Amino acid sequence: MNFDVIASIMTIVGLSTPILLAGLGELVVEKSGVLNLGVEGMMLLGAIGGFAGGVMTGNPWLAVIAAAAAGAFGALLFGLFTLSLNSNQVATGLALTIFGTGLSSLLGLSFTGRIVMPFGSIFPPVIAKHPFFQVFFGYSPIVYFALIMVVAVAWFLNRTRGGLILRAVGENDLSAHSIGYSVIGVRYAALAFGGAMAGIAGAYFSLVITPMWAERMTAGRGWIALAVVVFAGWKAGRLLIGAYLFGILMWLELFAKAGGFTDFLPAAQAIPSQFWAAMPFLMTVVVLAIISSRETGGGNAPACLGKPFLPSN
Amino acid sequence: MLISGATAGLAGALEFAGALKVINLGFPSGYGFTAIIVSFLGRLHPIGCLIASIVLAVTYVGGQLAKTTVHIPDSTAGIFQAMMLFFILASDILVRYRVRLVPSNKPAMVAGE
Repeated sequence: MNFDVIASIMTIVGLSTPILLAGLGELVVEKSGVLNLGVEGMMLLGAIGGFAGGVMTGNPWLAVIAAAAAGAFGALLFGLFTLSLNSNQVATGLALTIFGTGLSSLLGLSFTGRIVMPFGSIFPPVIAKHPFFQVFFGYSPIVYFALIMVVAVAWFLNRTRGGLILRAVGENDLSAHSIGYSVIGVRYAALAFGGAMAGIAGAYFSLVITPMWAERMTAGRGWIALAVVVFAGWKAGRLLIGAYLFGILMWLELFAKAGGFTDFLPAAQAIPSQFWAAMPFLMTVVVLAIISSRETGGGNAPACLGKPFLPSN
Repeated sequence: MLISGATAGLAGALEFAGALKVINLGFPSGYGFTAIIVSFLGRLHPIGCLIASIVLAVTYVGGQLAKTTVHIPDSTAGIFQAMMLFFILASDILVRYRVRLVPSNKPAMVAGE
């Protein structure tokens, strides 16, 4: 079997993009001091929201907006419980995942077997289908959107006043509150952004990878996105590297299944493909163990991460 | 952590040995997440967990029954469980805080403990 570099790179980009999108959203959420474990649920809501939007309007751009709205809906529901009603963030996040899985399955019943127009490349076919240049221009606009958002999120967090306020809220909510910033308001805004990004990440599955609906089609990628945020040390640039590293790990499974190791590394071909499938999750555990055992103990984590905001009147 | 891992492993073995007798893909069927609902619904107390696990087993069996008898999709059982957990977590605020009307007629949350 020949090793097709172009096709491999395009597959890796396709696998990495949803992790990158969902991870960027979660990065902003966690920087504001909220731990939303419901990424998987919001991705599924976005997947069905985007698919439903695509079937009803026939316009992929409107479908992506519908996906973002569906993801943000899930996030605001999470915000209602954790921010306004001070519930436990970990348990509420898990509840959101269960809720998103159930609701997307239920809504998806009426869309099973239907297809949407795949959200393909926007560049002219001359370069989008070119045997070499497709590696740059052959992707869905969502891929470029994800890369732009890496720069935008890094710029927002480190170079703008709004980003400074958001980080202040995440590092010390009481101080931010005492100088007059609305902690709850900032956190609601961050959650809505994170939900919209997770929704678009979900739509990447139902509009781009396979333009049809399948139950639980995001296949646990939301959990990997959560791990990549920690892996990246809450930095947008490193998140890009982390997402693509995990993309490569997931591609290895497909590569092994297709018999890619046969020619140059027969020993690796003997390893069952389930081992490669487990690799990203194994990697997650290893990375988390290394980071938390270091002297700083993952010192980049926002100080108020996961703690409820309780101003003492 | 060791005890929790051991009991979780035991739960998996029980499911395999008792109910299914075969290991297939998707074998754990999401009971792990349901177990988290159980521990919160049981108010983090062993006896409470026993009662909560029976309640959730009822929603599972009820969901399957509703599917076969009145053809309601079984994902509604999942939504029902998630909403139950949402409401349990949200109701904590009424347990821990007292709603009081302050002079400006805006309801405020005051620490009750």
